Amino acid sequence: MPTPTFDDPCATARDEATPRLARGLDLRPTLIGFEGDEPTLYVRSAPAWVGTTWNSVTAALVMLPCLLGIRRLLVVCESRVTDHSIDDPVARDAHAERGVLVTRAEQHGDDRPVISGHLLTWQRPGPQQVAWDAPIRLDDGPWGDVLSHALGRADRQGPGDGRPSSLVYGLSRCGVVVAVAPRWRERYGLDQPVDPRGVRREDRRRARAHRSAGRPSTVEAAS
Amino acid sequence: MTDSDRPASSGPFDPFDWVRELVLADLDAGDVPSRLLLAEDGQGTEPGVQIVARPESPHDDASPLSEMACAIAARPPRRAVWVVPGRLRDLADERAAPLGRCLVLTCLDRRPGGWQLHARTIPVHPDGNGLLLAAASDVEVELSPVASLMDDAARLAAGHDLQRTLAVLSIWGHTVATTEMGTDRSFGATLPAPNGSDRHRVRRIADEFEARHTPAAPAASIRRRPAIPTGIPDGWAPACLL
Repeated sequence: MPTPTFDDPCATARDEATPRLARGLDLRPTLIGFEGDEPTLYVRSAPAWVGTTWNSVTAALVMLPCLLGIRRLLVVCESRVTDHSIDDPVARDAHAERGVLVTRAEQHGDDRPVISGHLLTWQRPGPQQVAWDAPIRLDDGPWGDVLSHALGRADRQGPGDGRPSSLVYGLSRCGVVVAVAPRWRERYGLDQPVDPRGVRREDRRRARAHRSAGRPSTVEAAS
Repeated sequence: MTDSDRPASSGPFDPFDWVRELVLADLDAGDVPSRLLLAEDGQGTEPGVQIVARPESPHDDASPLSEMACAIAARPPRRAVWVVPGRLRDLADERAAPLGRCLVLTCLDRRPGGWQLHARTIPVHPDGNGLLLAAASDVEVELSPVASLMDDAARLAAGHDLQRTLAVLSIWGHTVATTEMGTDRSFGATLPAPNGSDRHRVRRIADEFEARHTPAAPAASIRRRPAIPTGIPDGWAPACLL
C-alpha cells in the first residue's frame, strides 16, 4: 500500500480499498494517524468482529490514538448508500449501493474538532477491476461523533498500565493489525517491554526474550 | 513447466498452479491430507520440498499443523503453499452446522522487505467424491486456520537446520519428499539421523505454535489468534513484536 496522505483522503481511501475490492474481499474499518503531514500509525480492525460487535470495532480503532495523543485521523470503511424514500427495509437493502466512506478528523489545540467525510462509490467494469466514481462530499458521516469524542480524549491516558506497548499487545492478540511508521516506534514508546502481568501464558517465552533483547548485554564501567 | 515459459514470474503468484494436480488426485482418492509445499531461493517457481501431514491423534501434544510449521520457522522459504481441508461455517452463527467442505490454500510469497500472505478456498463436494463445486476464490487471510501460524513461523526465523528439522518431522510420521531434479526420492534417506537435541528443539517450537495459534481448534478460536500484519503501508513495521 502506498504511503497515506492526510490532504488527499480520497486517494488514500482508494489505495487502501482497491486491492481488496478487486479481489472480492471486504474492506475492514481502518484508521490512519498523522503527526503533522507525516503518517505514523495504521490500525485495522479484525475481520471476526465486523458485523457482530460494532462498538468493539470503533473502540479498538480509536483507543490507541487517544493513548498516543494523535490529533489528525483518517478512517476508511465500507459503507452502504440507501435510499430513504423506500419504506420497505428489505427493498431498501436490495437497492442499496456499496461505497467506501473516508472520514477526516483533526483538532488544533482546544478548538472544536473539524470533521469532514467523502463517500466513494465504485463499479466493477471487469474481473479484478474497480472503477471509482466522483467522490460525494459529506458533512461528517457516521464516524463524526466517535472521532470528535476520540480527539477530545486524546490526552495520553489509557486503559491498564497506560503503556502503549501493552495496549498494542492486547489489540494484536484479538486480531487487530497495528503498524507504525519507521522511527515512530521509539517516539511512541512501542519499543518498551509489555507489562509481564498482562502477557498470556503461551506468549511469556517470547516476552522474556524481547525484554532481554532490549536490555544491554554488557555493563560498561563508569569513567 | 520451466521458469522460462511460466508467465507467473512477472504476474501475481497463483498458488493453485502448484497444487492443482495434487489436490485433484487427493479428491479422487477421497482423502485430502494437509500438504505444505516450500520453495527456497534459487528454486524458481517450483516447490522443492513437500510435507504431507501425519494423521491426527487424540493424544497429540501439538497438532500436525503446528509441527509442519517448524519447517517454515527453520528457514523462511521464498514461497510456500499450505493446503488444509476445512469446513465452511457462518462466522455470525458458529453453533450452526457446517455449510460444506472446502480446501483452504494459504500462500506465502516473500518479497524484499517482507512477505505477502493470501488465502483461497475451493468448495468441494460434501460426499468426498472428487468434485470441485466452484472455482477458487480469495478470502480474508485471517479466515485461514493456518495463516497466523504461517506468518508467525516466517517471522520467528529460528535459524535451525532445515534438513534436520525435516528429518525430525519424518520421524514423527509426516511424509517428507523433495521434487528436485524431477525425482520423488525420499528426503529422509539423504539426511543424517536427528539427535535428541534436534527433536527437543523442534518439539518446543511446535508446542509454542500450538499454544499461540491452535490451528486445529474450532472456528471460535479465530478471535484468539494473533493479528496478521499484511497489507500495511510500504516500509512500515508491525507495532507488536510478540
